[in-house]
Amino acid sequence: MLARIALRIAAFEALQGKTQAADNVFDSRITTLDVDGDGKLVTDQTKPFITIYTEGSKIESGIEQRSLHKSGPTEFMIEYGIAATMTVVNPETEEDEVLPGIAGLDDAFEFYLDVVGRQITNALTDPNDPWAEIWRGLSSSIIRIEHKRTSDASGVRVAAHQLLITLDLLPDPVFGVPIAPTSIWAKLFAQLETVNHPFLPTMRSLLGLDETPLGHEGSRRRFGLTLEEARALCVTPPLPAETTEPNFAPVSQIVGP
Amino acid sequence: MQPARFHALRDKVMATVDKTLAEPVALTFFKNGKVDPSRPKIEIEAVLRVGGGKDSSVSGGSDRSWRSRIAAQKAELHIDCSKYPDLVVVPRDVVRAVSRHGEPRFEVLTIDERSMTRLVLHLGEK
Repeated sequence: MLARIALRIAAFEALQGKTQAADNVFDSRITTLDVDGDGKLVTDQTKPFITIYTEGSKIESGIEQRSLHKSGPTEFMIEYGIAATMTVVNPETEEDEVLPGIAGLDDAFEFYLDVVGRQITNALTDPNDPWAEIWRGLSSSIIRIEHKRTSDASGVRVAAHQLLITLDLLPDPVFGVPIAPTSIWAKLFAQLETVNHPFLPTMRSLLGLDETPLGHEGSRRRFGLTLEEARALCVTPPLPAETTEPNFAPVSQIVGP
Repeated sequence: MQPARFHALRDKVMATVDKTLAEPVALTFFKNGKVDPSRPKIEIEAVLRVGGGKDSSVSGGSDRSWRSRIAAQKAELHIDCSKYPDLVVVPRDVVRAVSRHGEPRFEVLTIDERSMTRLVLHLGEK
């Protein structure tokens, strides 16, 4: 759905270069961290990573009729970790560092993870970053924040944190309905255009901006109404005017038959 | 250390195995994250075996609430202690397989020093 795509793109761009993981930020990564984004084996020093995912969402109330455009409380997950293979090693002494001057001991790993967590918070709350602003504008509020931690030392010493944010994601823009210039969607598409994002043409085609639906058709799409339901609710104009939907606003006087 | 009757046989077996299978590895010793000045870096010959790559989530198992997956494998270094009787190894020491492609680095996770034949270091990737 478009809101989820927007959430991921905005967060991905907002986090680039803003943390200790630098540009090692991944979007919805599936493969193991032995390979980089292009599928090549990483034999050089691997860097610590951040991965973002949009997880599930569930809406169980407030769905007016069949509003499939709604997004609901959506889980946005940021997972970041560091392994013993991801520290900076001095090849002569074999000493390693997670941060300049801090050796790669277990407590340093945990310190590193909290440092990155803080940097992520700084990046997503940055008032001057257009991508962070779009990320914030895509939800009406955050409902729940969960911090989790794990570590392991079976094949490699690794520790990771997970920031699970459940936010009230905005509904998708309704297909065909024009987008207001003040809306977050206008801002998002303008921003995508400035960076010539490869997803832009597909996303734009999903908005249906070439269609020009009638007002009642837009409402039927928004709420998933059948024609009978729309007529019963008087969402459609009177039957003879249904296909043309003339503008009744300037009408000041109706003369009887 | 008191001798036992099987020591002669043991030493002969270990020497024969090492002659065929041992490879040079460089050991660097650490204390509190920094190189330990009391134990200088040495190069020894020992048997290094690296396990098959297995990927797991960062939690070490198949915990589905963690999405990131790491492929890392356990390795073991089997050292002939009669050949290197003064060797002291602690967790976090670094082993470098200098005769392998790319000279991979390992760190010592646990040590098994109670075997009758060898000092076994359980290694993790570094």
